Amino acid sequence: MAEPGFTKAKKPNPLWAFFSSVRLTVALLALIILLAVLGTVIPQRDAVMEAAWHAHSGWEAAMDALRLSDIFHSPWLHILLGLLSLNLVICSLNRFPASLRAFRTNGFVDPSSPGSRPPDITLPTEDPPEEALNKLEVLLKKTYRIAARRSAAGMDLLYADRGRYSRFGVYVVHLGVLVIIAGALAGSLFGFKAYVNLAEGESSSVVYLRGGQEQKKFDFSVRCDRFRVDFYENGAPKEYRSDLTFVKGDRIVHQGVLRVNSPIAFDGFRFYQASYGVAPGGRIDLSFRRGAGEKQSANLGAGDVLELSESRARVRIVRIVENMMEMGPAVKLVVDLPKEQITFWVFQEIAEIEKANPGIVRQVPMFNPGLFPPYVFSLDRMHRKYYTGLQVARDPGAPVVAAGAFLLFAGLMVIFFSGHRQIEVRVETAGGGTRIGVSGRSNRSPHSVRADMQRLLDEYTKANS
Amino acid sequence: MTSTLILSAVTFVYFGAFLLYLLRVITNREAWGVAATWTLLAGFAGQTIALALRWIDSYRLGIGHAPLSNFYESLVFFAWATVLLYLLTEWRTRSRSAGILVTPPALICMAYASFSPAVSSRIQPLIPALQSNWLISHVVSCFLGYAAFTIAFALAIMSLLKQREGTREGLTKRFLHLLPDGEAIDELLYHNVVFGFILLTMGIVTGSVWAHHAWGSYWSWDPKETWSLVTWLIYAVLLHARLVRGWRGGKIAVLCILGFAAVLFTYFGVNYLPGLHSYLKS
Repeated sequence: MAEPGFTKAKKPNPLWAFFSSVRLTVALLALIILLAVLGTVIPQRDAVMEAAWHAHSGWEAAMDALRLSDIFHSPWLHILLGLLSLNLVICSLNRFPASLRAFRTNGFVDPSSPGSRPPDITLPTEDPPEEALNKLEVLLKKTYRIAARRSAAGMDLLYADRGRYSRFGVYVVHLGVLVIIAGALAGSLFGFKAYVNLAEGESSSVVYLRGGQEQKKFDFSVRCDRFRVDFYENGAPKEYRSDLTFVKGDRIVHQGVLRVNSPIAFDGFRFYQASYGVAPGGRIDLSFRRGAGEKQSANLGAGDVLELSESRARVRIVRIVENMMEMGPAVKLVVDLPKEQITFWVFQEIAEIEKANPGIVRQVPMFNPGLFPPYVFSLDRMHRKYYTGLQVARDPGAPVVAAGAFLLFAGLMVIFFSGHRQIEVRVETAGGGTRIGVSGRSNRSPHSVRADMQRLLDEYTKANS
Repeated sequence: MTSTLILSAVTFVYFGAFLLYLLRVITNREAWGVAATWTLLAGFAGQTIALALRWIDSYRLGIGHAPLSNFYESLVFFAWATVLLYLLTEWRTRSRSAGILVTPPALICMAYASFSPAVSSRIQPLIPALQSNWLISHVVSCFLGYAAFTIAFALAIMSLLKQREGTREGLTKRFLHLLPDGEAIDELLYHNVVFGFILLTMGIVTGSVWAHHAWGSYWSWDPKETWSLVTWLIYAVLLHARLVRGWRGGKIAVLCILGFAAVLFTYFGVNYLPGLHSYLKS
């Protein structure tokens, strides 16, 4: 903060002067803003997208070369943050002595010295100086801290202040910013973020970083026992959860339910429910009827074979598709006969599909569930097999960043909701009586200190009447 | 829903308040200003009731959550917060000058929310990522911050207009004369920026804590996060310019307008960029 009345006696070192200027701060902040804006406008290379097959156009190659396709991990941002940190430290060091002097001060400029200003308000009184000063001290003490009482140039002086600690608010904010930057750096150096997909029943002790380019191996394994997803009536997901088991050696060491917004911490790592999907290997309930015969059904998975002994046919389940051409679940069957092969799809929602596209079964015989007469097949139910997408992270910088954010916020509160209010009372004999003079100063709210001074004199008058 | 109906009606009440503030300037009679304040207050009361009803309705639907979860609800809350802060400012400063500049943003938000076919007013259930106790604190602090910046923006425009006093004639002259003096505007602008800055800081911090729980990382450089940081930095520059270099008046007003542009982009523009904060698209 600019403090009037203090001049720096230090010889200006050009480098020091450069790094201690607020102009540099503003320039650096402007550059960081520019980079951040570019980072949201230029498509950024997502870690997951960083696959080798990614086609390069000339523009993309240029962006890559300038490291503008990964701005938030680029040297540009790191250099700017480094310079900003240096600037913050030097700025703070530069201004700290003045703040410390203001903090320790116990009086305004000596009344006899040329820099002294006349008091802001005065009040004549008949009390003798000593008594007036005592009364004022009692009144001031209610809201201010009395720091000094002395005599100079033929007058008695009383110096009181409040909120002197607010002088350090700005340093707390700057320290908070530095701690956040340090925490972020620690996180990017020592932390990681990895992913693994586990189908129900599957377990893994390996997770993948940077779109699968790197692996990380744990000395434990995590198993997905069950995955469940519930939907609202409108089709939006309501909740998804994975039942996880952590196994070390042959021992189950931890079991827990993982939900979005409630991660599991295990062995210093945090597991998050990041995504889910349908894994291959789901099963279906397939039923069929021979002519007017009885309906039979079977639970089958891809690759299974259904023997139809009456017709010496084998029905192979070739593919199970979650959503076939936007027409819902379907299964691809191949019927092997001694002399020929018949291939067709059986849709679960065939009735609705026919209603929406009349005649589709005749036009596209492959979609006819009765293509192998006299059998008619139907897909009754699909038992999806889900996989759960886990994110595994470790960030030793996170608590540091949290501490920095706390400092930053606390400092902001100090800066904006308090201020150093200083009041000096002079009592002197003038003419036949006593004259009280009050001066005030505030680094934040001059009007509030003015009000405080006025109240002091009002209370004094009231007490005397 | 009754609440949606009330909120559409509130749009017209706010429009009425705007017209009354306008009449106050045109006729130079404070009676219109008093009427404007009461109209705005009535609209605000209606909006508060509607928000409470919507909250209750969501429980009746069995998906109970605070009305802060989609674009419609955010627009309505933004307007509500802006009017609330403006009414407080008007009461504290006993000046109605900013009314004519503050009512239009609130009015536009309400009109867009109520009448745009692109904005669905249905109460939707919360998707898993939004089912968190951090939802309320994060959204409330962000939007109160945006509201304070909106008022600061209106004051910045006033501050720039006030500088032209003496060069204009007629209606403009009368309007400029009605404005408080430049120093008072500047002081009020600073207070609004400070309030907005603290709330935006809170919004970013609560958002980070939430992201740490839901996304596995407190900061992902998602466009909304990045733009909120840009906004924060612009206002940080403004505060440094004022507190360290002693800037006042026009230069501060220009920075304030720049900051508000960043607020608008953080709120609306970012929806056109891909990212994690896609809840506001519907």
